[in-house]
Amino acid sequence: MKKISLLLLSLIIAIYGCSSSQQVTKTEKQASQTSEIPQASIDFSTLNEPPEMWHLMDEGNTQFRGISSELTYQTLLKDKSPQQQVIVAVIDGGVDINHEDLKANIWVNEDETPGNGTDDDGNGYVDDVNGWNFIGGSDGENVDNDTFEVTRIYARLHPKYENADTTNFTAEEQVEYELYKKVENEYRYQINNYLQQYNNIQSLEQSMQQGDKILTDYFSGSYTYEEVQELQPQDQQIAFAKNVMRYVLENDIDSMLIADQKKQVYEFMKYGYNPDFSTRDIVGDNYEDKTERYYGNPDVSGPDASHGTHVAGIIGAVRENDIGMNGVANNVRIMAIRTVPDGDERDKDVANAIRYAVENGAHIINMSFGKSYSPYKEVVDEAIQYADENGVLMVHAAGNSSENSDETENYPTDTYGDYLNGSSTANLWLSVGASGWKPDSAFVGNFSNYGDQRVDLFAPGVDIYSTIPNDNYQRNQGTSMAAPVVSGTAALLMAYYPDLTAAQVREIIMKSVKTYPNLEVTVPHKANVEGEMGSFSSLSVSNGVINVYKAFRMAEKMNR
Amino acid sequence: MIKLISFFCITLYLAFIPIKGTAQTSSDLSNQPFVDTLIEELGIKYQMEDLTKDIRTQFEQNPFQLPQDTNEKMLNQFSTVYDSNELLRNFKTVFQQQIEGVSISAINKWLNSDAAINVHRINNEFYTLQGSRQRVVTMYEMDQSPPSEQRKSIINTLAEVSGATDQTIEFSVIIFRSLINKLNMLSERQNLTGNQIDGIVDNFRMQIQSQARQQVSNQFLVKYFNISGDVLRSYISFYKSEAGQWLSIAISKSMHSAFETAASKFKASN
Repeated sequence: MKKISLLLLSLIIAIYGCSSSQQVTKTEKQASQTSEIPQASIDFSTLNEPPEMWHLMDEGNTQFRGISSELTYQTLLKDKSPQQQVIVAVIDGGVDINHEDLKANIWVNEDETPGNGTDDDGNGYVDDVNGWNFIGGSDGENVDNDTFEVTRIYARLHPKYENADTTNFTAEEQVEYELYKKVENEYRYQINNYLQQYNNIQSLEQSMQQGDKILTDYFSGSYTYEEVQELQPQDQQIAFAKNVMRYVLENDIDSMLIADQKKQVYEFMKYGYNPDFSTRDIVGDNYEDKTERYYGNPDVSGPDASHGTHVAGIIGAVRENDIGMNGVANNVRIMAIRTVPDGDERDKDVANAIRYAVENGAHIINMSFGKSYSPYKEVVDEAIQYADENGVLMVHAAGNSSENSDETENYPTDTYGDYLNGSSTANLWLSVGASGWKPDSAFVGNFSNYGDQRVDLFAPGVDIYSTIPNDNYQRNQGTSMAAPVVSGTAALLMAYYPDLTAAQVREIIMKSVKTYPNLEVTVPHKANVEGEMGSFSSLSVSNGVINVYKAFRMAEKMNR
Repeated sequence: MIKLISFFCITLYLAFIPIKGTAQTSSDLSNQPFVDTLIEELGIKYQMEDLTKDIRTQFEQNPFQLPQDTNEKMLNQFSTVYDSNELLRNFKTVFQQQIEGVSISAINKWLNSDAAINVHRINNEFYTLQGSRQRVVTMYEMDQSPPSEQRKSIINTLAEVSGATDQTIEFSVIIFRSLINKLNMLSERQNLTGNQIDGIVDNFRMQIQSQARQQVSNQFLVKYFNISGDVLRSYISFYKSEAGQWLSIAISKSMHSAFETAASKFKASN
């Protein structure tokens, strides 16, 4: 009798976007990491991993579909100097401002005296030396985990509508009720889904332990994948062990991965989907007042700066210092604005973060975050409009849900008012999808959102090597990584062409993309949906991938 | 020989625990209301739904690698015959037949106790949406801080005296046999004889016995994570009483009948 113990294995282990892949130890790197030396033809089908700085490379010279920034530095910018320092606000979960490869490029508010407990520059924020933290209290305590927006809406509407008599609703109640039904449905689905997922992970863990023990005994020690493949089971036990361990080895599953997955699901259930979990006491603001501006603390790193530090490094890790890696931009300063918890950011905080960036001199705002609901969208809209009117370029990650942004909501957005039916949009906005390093049908990151109307362009967002806290470096993937590639490019353009407006920089970026008009790609899709092929050109407004070299060629013409 | 697949992972999801619910007023002595109230308070329907839902989920993965439309057909038939309302209807009929002469007042008295009210509340919450969410939290936290041997001992005792472990094994076997019978009918290859099916089922029973014990124990540890040892001991003492033993046996018999009836219908369905 053939035993199946893999019933649940096929359901297992969702890979989350922006998730860490490998943590590498700190090493000293040479500038030749980004060498443009032509290479022999690369067999991408057998290549497991690209070079660390592939995203900065030029395709013509290296075959890797990077943004050609290093080529630009070596040629067009070789005898030029940047004309201005550009400030890029990184609205994120925190930045390790003491990272060896970032600290020289961290923005310093020269009008603030550190640690004197005084709002020296009168901007409303005390000791905001390197930025601000909107998800912390004045006593220094910080929000770490927070709920998801769907949970917050569910918590608000469920008591009201769970057993409501739907026959007597006002028009407003009817609209709210429709929202409730949608949210309740999603909330219920996620709870059941994650419970199933956790059970599956546990089951896999147990099966793995049993299977490993059986095979270790069988082989009297360690064994290889090939040996497992070649096994001819003579009994159920060996057959079971073979099935399990073959799956485990094929998918690189180890105990650390399992532990990480369990922890992530646990945190989702304990915090993200917990309607009774509240963090706002930590912040201590009057949360009901969405126009309130001044709260938080100056701790821009927070308890977990891994995501924000990675984003910051992509934009502006110090270049050519024989340490770590190179950012896209030089002469850049990173303004760290902590706003995104381990959960969903809140509209009030996002709005305030944007305003802070504008009012303190940011040229560009990078927003590598997003969510599916925005209950107080109007305050965010006003802040975006404020940035727009003040000439600040906003770069937003399109999202990692493998969805068509033209049809599925993703916030924040450049559209004012209703997501689908709003009539006006911000002008200085760029929404960025993630492209990869494989020049074939897998060119678009399979997690990336896309949209012929709403995703403006693609940028490298797969296997991106960058800084993480405590002087470490790591590859990550996500549209979170793609957005800062664009922010860094915009910063580089602004540094060398200070007379260009943000609108012109945006136009240059959009018009100078590298296109692949004949490329058919697998359109990003959910795991349980069959993939379809589609033209790469149909997935974004610009039809292409950002290219620094082409952008600079265009900027030079525009600047004459 | 037909390639058969034992439902290894069924065991992960099987635990039925007849746990007491909220109090029933002692003035309500006619059988029907008593039965209805008891069924509701003990969450019988939840328990049946739990088992069949998990098995259905595994079916959806097509574990027997049947042609897709065949698997779907089997799935639909399974859902129909093992529908929780159908199961409950049969359960009630059989349960009612056993009430003659039983000490309803003793059961009522226990149902009104603080311990029963407490456990019933926890039991009901376990099957709610927030209960599902909390399960993950508890499972993880238990992983990090495993329960003491004393705690495990109390839980294991409860699982045994309440009949939960035996019921889990029995119902798994019933469902498994019905699946094998169905598969045998649908298979295009050689049919199994009755003896062969018996052999396979016996083998399955042997395999799941230890797993079911562990699974029920794990579920109890999670479900009653926040219930004190004293309350659990009170539970155990009830089940050791004559009234508790009667209740456990009556529920077991009634569930057994419900699942056997469903299994027969499953076998007979086209």
